Amino acid sequence: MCTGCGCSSTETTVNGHLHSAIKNTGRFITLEKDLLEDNQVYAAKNRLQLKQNKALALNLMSSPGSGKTTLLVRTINDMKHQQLFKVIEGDQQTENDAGRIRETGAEAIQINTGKGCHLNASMIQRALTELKTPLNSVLFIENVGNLVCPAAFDLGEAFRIVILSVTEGEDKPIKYPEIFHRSDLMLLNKVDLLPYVDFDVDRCINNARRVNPDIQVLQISATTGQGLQNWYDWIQTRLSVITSNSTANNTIENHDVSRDPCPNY
Amino acid sequence: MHELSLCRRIISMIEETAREDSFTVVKSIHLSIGKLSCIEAEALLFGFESLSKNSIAQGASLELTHTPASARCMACNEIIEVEQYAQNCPLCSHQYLQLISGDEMRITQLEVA
Repeated sequence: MCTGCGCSSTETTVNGHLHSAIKNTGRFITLEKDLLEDNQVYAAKNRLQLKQNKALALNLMSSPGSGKTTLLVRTINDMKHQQLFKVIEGDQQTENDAGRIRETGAEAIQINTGKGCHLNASMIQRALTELKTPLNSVLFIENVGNLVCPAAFDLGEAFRIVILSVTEGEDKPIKYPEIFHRSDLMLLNKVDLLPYVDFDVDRCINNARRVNPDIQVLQISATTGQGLQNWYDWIQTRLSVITSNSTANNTIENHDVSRDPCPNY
Repeated sequence: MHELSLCRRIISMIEETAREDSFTVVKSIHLSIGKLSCIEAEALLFGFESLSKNSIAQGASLELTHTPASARCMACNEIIEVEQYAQNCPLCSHQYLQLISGDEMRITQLEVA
């Protein structure tokens, strides 16, 4: 095509002007590849490895300060007598969060992403080789605090959980829709602060359902313990599916929570 | 800025392809990006320009084609084209839509010499 006039002629002179601007096109190679293909290969390996170990991997995503680490510490302390926990911590810098987890007695691997704004599946693959056998464990993967980038990267988890605290604002699900769209469960945290903040719970849940009609919601406070039993039941239900028969494993892979006995909220 | 990770992946895909199908110049890189994918075009273009320096992809143009997104309305059950997350059904105004497509991110073809 002539880049001067846009006509499709390949003649040198057409309509009185010189087609010196005929673009020298190269040859085309068809690729048709997903940009996240390599991440998906690692994610599939992780998923298989976790399934073989009957481990329940949960990818926890949120903005910084939503209470992820506090929730994990509380959950592990409340359930550790009946359940083995492992944690992979993602932060740009410091071992602080892994340190807080280790105080509970649970094994924790810290991944520092440096400038990176999210965890990816190859980082999890490396962390899995460092972890002592995750057999029959609940593996919490605490993603980098960020409501945008972690959404795009499958880590090989069984379920994705987004944590939103009531101090952040009820419109976050429609402001940052992708992470809510791709999550199976929204934990609405810090509900003990509801009397002190301007936050409409019903509107927030409706916003989340507008970007993901299937999302489940549990209202909790990791500090006071309010609503945590529902969260523990949610984990137990999914663990029992994973540790039972092979048809149930397919259920986990397909993210099919249609038979979930837990209340939505 | 996950676009930087994606740019690195685009460049490594091109380098892999160049090893299999010998070429030395990349004129253009064609991407098909779903309307609701998590790519910000400006961030991608900026990241590509800086990361492609001194690579085989230096100087190549990045051609983005935005593919439409579709969803099924959970009330009227019709499949409709959507412009963004959290929009209402244009047919019946229902507010819950199940996204079907629109978050793809693919490298479709390379123009090389």
